[in-house]
Amino acid sequence: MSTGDWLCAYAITRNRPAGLDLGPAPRLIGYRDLGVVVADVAPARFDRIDTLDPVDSAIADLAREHDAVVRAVFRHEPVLPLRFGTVLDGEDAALRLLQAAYEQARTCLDEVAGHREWGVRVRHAEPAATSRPDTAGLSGTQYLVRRRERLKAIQRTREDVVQTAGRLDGALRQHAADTSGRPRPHGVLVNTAYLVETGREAAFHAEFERFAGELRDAGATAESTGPWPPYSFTDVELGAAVDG
Amino acid sequence: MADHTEAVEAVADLLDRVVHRGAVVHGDVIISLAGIDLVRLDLRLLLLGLEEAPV
Repeated sequence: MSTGDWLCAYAITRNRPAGLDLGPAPRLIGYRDLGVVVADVAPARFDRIDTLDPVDSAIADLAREHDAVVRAVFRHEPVLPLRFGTVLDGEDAALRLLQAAYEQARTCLDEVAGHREWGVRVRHAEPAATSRPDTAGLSGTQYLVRRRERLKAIQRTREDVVQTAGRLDGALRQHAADTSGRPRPHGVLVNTAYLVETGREAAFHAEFERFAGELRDAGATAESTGPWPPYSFTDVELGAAVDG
Repeated sequence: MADHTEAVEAVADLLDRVVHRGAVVHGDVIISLAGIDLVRLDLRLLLLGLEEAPV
């Protein structure tokens, strides 16, 4: 077991400590032109993490803390976020990680440099409460006809929305360097992260707004979130060989 | 209700990115945290459950 010289690792970035404003705790450990942002962490911090109820805000608080450090780096430098819960066995381990992962991390940093992540979600709007047909005084046949017409109309609306959502995604991809699909539960048509060069963000958002209006009219909602550090575009495995 | 859903989604967006995305480090430099994989699994189920719950 470690004696407690644990370092919580948040992100890999350029080795330019002068430009970073990380706050009191986190620091940069550099190797050549790369650095890993770490903070001392008491092992007890994660002691009972598996007993935390996932609904408990403790996990959300830890995640926010992690996000805050990643964003502090991201404000000034390109960032390769490390997954939450990455704990290194001391400074030597941090250096060995940078040595072993140097080329890979550098390539990945170059890819995301100058870009930010934006999330877009499109879903069917709730059926309006007013859409219940007035059935008073209708015969059975009339009722069935009315009902079939109504279902057809709903079906048509859904098809319109699906088509518009597809066009939105296609248009946004034109302005994105990369895209990443995110979990898409029932009723959600698009849940995608786009990696957008900062110079193209205005065009990206103009396109989004144009389609958001169209989708609203067609009976759907479109939301965007961001800017995010490029969390969804750093899906790499950095290895530090066990046998050195 | 809409505010609550938005708040839940904001947390879900954050957790999915911070806990499930980002680069993974392997090897002897890493301290394996007991239970962290369980946390990830729990969260995954929770996030899907939350998002699928009727509003």
